[in-house]
Amino acid sequence: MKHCLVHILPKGEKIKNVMRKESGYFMINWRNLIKVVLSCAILLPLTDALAQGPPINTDTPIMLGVSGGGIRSFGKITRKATLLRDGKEIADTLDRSITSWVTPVAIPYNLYSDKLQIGLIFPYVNINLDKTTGDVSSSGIGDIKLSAKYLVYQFDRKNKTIRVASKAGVKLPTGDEDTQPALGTGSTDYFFSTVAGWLEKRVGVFIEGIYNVNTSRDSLDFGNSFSYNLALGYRLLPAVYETYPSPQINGYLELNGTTVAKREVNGAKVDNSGGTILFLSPGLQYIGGRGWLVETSFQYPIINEPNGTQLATDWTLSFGTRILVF
Amino acid sequence: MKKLIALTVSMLILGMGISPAVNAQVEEVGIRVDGLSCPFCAYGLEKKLKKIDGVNDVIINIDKGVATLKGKKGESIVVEGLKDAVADAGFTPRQITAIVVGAVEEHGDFVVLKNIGSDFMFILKENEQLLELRSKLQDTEKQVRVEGVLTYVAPEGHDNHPYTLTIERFEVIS
Repeated sequence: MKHCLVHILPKGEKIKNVMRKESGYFMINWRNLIKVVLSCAILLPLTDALAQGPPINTDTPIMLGVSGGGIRSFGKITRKATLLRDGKEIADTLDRSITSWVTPVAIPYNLYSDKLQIGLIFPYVNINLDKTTGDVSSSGIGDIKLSAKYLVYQFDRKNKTIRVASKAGVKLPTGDEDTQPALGTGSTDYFFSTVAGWLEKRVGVFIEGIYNVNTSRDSLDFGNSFSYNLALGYRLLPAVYETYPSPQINGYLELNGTTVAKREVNGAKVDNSGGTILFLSPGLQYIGGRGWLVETSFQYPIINEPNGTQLATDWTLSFGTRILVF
Repeated sequence: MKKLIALTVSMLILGMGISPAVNAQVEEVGIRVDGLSCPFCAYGLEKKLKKIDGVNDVIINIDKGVATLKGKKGESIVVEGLKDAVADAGFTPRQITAIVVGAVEEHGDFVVLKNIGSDFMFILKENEQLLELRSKLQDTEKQVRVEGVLTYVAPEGHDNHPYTLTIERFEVIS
């Protein structure tokens, strides 16, 4: 991972750092760009084979079946144990590591002929912070999210569909922000996203952009963030899907990125906050019948550049299920 | 009063006995469904199609993009509302094919396939198969099983036969 963090344009380094500090946003360098292009190159050859299921870390505009009337739950483990300063690993005298386990329960409900979907995400959070001066942990309900997604475009042909949906939602400060570690941010935040999906025979391609308008708690102003996801799904088995329902195995390769602006305290930017992370996320999904699936995904950061000095995310692992109820 | 009750009951029993036997019906319907590229989203389609009157079973072939509705024994599948059901399930309905049993009749300007015991009928579109069928029937009232493409045309003033049936195959069954 360390090699991913080395800048190759030393002359531009200072300018970039200045720009980062000024804007609070990550400025992508050439090496990062090459990594993204290479990752896309790995993903793209799959598209010449000719559907599969809903992607694991990316949203879907197809609000049908388990993605329409199914309760989804999964456990996601996130490990942060690498201390980075300006993108380079440094020794942590406190030897800190954070392991979080989040179990969201997502309940969607479709209206208007499956064109509008309202959703509730109810997370249970467990966070452990280990350090040489003593370990602390907390667990409980995290911040609940409410959302509404609307299908804005639909193009159907035989064995093929292209759909686009837009979503807006709110994150409520239901998680306790006073515990150590905090279970919620204590702020009411808003998010807006658009997701497009193309499914044809064995392949599905999904692309999503999410803008989070993060507000403040007391004198702390959380920076806004932008997330961007690209997912390629491929039905591994069966090669030819004839009569519904039949068991199927889907493979996924996703790029999941987020860029977060710096926080502000009393109007002053916090240098050790915000940054960019881009995961390469392989995943597998098994759909066993009409009403259920199980899935797992591993996320490894191919770009990991938190601003200033911060513990960086080393990896995440999630495994979950979706069960059709409506 | 007792005689009146007895008479009413008798008439009801008789009525049940002489109610027209459904010996002509829509036995099977196939509909091409566009957008059916994800097997995981076919659940809603199957659920909605099973709610259609007269349907016993629904078979969805993802590879062909076709849903086939099998009728209940002795009942006719109600084809009205089929396209709406597909659209409500989130897909785009296309061509409908059907296997229909009935009697061929002249009906004004049209040649129709009529379901015995029902005013509902299908206009038979003129083609070579229809000419061949009529020559085989030779004005007899034999029952035929016709397989073909259903097209919604709804000619004005002909509410009971809004569909034309383009014959692809047929067999004379009685």
